[in-house]
Amino acid sequence: MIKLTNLSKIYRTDTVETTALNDLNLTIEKGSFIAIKGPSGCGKTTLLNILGLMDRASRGEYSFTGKNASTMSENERNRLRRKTIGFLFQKFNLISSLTVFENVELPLLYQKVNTSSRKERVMSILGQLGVEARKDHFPHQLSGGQQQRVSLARCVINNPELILADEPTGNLDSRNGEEVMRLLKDLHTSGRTIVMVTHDDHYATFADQIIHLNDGMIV
Amino acid sequence: MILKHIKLSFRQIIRQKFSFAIAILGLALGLAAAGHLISYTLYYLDYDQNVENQGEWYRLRFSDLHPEFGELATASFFIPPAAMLLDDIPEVLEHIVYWPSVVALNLRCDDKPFQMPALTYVSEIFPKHYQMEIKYGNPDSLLSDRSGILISESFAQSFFGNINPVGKQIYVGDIPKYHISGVFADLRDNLHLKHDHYILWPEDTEAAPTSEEDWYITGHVRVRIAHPEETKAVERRLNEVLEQYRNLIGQSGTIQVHLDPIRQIHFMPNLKDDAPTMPILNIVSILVLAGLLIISAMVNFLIIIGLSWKKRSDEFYFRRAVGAGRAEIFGQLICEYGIYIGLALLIGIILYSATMGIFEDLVKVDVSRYSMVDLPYSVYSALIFLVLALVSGILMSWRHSRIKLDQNTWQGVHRNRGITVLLFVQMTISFALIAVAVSMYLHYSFVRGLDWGWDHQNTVQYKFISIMDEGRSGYSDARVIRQRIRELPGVLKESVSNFNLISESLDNQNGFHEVPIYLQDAEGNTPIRSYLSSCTPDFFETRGIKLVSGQIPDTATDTQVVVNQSFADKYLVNPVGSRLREGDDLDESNWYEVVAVAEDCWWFPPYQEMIPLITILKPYVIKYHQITWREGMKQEVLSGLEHIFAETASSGVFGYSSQEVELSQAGFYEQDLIYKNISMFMAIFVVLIAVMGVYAVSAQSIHAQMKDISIRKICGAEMSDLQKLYFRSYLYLYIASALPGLYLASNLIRLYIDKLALDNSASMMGYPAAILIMIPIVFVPLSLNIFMAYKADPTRYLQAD
Repeated sequence: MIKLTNLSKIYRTDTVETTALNDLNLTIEKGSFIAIKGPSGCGKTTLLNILGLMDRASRGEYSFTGKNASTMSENERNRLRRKTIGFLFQKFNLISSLTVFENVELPLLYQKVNTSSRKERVMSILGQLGVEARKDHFPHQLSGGQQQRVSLARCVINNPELILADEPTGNLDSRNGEEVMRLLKDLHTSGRTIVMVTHDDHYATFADQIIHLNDGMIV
Repeated sequence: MILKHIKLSFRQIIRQKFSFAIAILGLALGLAAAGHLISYTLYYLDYDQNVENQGEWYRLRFSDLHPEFGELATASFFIPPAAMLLDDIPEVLEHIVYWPSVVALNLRCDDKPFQMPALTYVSEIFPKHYQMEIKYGNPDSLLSDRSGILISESFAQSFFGNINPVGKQIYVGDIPKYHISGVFADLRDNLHLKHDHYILWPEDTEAAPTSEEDWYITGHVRVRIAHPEETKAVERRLNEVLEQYRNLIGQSGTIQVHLDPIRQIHFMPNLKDDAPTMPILNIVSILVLAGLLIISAMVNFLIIIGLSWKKRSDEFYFRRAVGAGRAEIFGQLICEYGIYIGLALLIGIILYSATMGIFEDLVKVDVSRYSMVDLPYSVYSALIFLVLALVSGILMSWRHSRIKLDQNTWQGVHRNRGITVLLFVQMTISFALIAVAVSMYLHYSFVRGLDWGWDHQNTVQYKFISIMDEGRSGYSDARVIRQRIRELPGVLKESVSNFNLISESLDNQNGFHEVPIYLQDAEGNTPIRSYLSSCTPDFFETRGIKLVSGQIPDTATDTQVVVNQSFADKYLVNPVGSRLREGDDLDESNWYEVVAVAEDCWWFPPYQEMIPLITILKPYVIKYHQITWREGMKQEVLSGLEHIFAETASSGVFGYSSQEVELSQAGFYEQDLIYKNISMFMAIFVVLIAVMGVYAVSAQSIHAQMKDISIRKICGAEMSDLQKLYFRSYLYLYIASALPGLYLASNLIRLYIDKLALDNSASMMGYPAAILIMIPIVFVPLSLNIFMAYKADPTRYLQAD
């Protein structure tokens, strides 16, 4: 599903050049659950952003579902991301001025899904994740675990093939962390490919494969 | 501490050069421009204020209220009887008469033509009244006899050079008739009775006005009355006297005398026999525009300063965290604000002084005397501005210093509301000024592009009195002059008339006589009122004036007339062949026969409705010659004409003058041109400010929402989705500001357009134009910010803090 060949990402300022990813080669099969581990600044998040088509590599090739993502236009990347990738963040990244329902329906809104279908799908996913009763609440009225479940609902509402999770349990207590990991595992079981960045050894064990990154290289 | 605040203020300016340059320079430019506009209005508000005991002087005028014709309002009073009538009224302390003669004389001095327009007669105390500064001559005997002429310094300089010309003889033909009695320093331009020369009007205070001729000459009369409450008594007394002389005066309606305070007379338009005037509303509207300009610049300033403080909320938060109280933050902000305002004021004053000359060229008025710095008004203006600035500064500083250590996002949202209100004000003003500017532009284009109905291109008009006869002493034969003109190489066509083809006002001086006319076919014996003048039969064809009906004979009798279409439409069913007469005399010789109807022509600006006009086809006196030159032959024709008229005038008593028609027509619309230029300049300024305002505010609000935008982006939002999201809120703002803006514009536009007698719907295009022009002003900067936000890397805003 994903193939990275000699992929590098270099950040440049006037005086400093920082290599975040260094000649990375990686293949991720469809339906796998990968955990990426490594110390701070090793390039985990950069890798996740490139995989999620939010950032571009400085060098090398990135093939996503057989298409060369490196050469795609911004609009093509946007369309592909909208249809196939879901994101889960440590800080949840919910829009504070929108309700739970409105946050979750956003991806469907941008896919021009009609109102009744949107409502049906949003209510269904909120029901599956146990936050249906909170649909009219604003993010700041929810607990961290609830916010992450809403974030997960938004992530999977458009049935993405790939879920990218950037330390999804980082802001949660252990009970809510376990709950989120269980949900991710369920999604994996239902056939989704999951790439998760984590610091936590325990949560990494939920994955099929653990990749260690150091100084932008797989070790 | 204050020094630290000042240092920080300048550091902020250096850090955000572009924003602060826009804010401070924008305000400075707005202040300078508003200063110029206020100076311009002061020039007019000060019209005729520079007279001795100004508050005690009144212009005397009469109106004739007729049951059929309505009120005939003039700016004049009866000149010869004035002295006798006024000397009998004890409340009148002094009086002045002013009568500009219609006829220019053939004057010579030092064996060369002493060319000056028709003589202007005034009372002996006139130099004292206008507080003239006498350069040469005895101040006590400037206008002591009928032969003394008082001339201006610039006029003396142009004719005599730097010598003292007092005592120089002036000849009418070969007869020494006048002498230079004094030279006065040039008068300021904003005087109602300003001329380059004055001569004594000999008053007879003893003889009673017993003949009709005594009441024929009317002109400007001023009286000095010590107490305003006495004016009514003077009016009453004069009304009684005029009633006694009713039969001699020859007015058919009720004569009513009015005393107009001198300070108001320049703002009393539409009076006959008056100097150029203007409606006071024009001045008010310019003051309103100046106010809008300052508000707009101030709003722009507040938006940018407000946004810069908003950006620094972290800094204020940290200051609070390390122990600063609200008072300290407030003190810092108000100090910074004061520095910014002070800089804007300083630059504004420099800009104002530096651009004074440019502005004078733009408005063609000498406003240097009305420099804001020198005037008492400047204190009020500065006070109003400073209070406005201070209140705004205190409010903004107070709000921004309110930052709390437990601040949440709701305060930020709340603060945006203030900036949105400022943006709303700015957009409202933009809508108004764009609509005004476009309307003024269209209005000016309309009046300048108006079809005058007659051929006036490449034409010069000479004013010279001659007669269609020979052998009368002092008069030239018009037929001989015409023949000589026609033989001049380069002359394409020539015509003559007894009326001025470029008349700023329709009065006797320009050959338009308003008279009662009786129609033969009319029921009853009630006269109508029409203008009457004369021209030769070939005039219509030569000037390309189309005939609606009838024919003009090659040689006409003195009872054949042409009426214009307005006359025919208003009064005659079958115009050609119908008969009409002037006055009450039923003698057969007084009846005219209409031989043709000519299309309406604009001999005057369209601020007056088209007049009904009767033109007698056999004039005896000719006052105006119109000569059209062939393309490329202008100089040859003009020098040939100058030679013909100089030579002809030298053998008679009358002088001559000339005007290029198109140039003189342009003079009709000088005020309109000024208003157009002012409104265009202000609209451009406000548009620039509005673009910057929208850009700055949308940039700030979008920047504050970059995280939301990034979330939307990773959820699949495209550029168009973001545009829809932000366009909606700005669309509401656009609509909300369009309504009051266009309403404000409609009031300002009406002040200018209402004076036009013609229907000019083109000016109404200002409203849709403003709506269209404001679309890119609002949505292009917004789109640019959305585009930049869309292109920004979303990962920066989505990672953990």
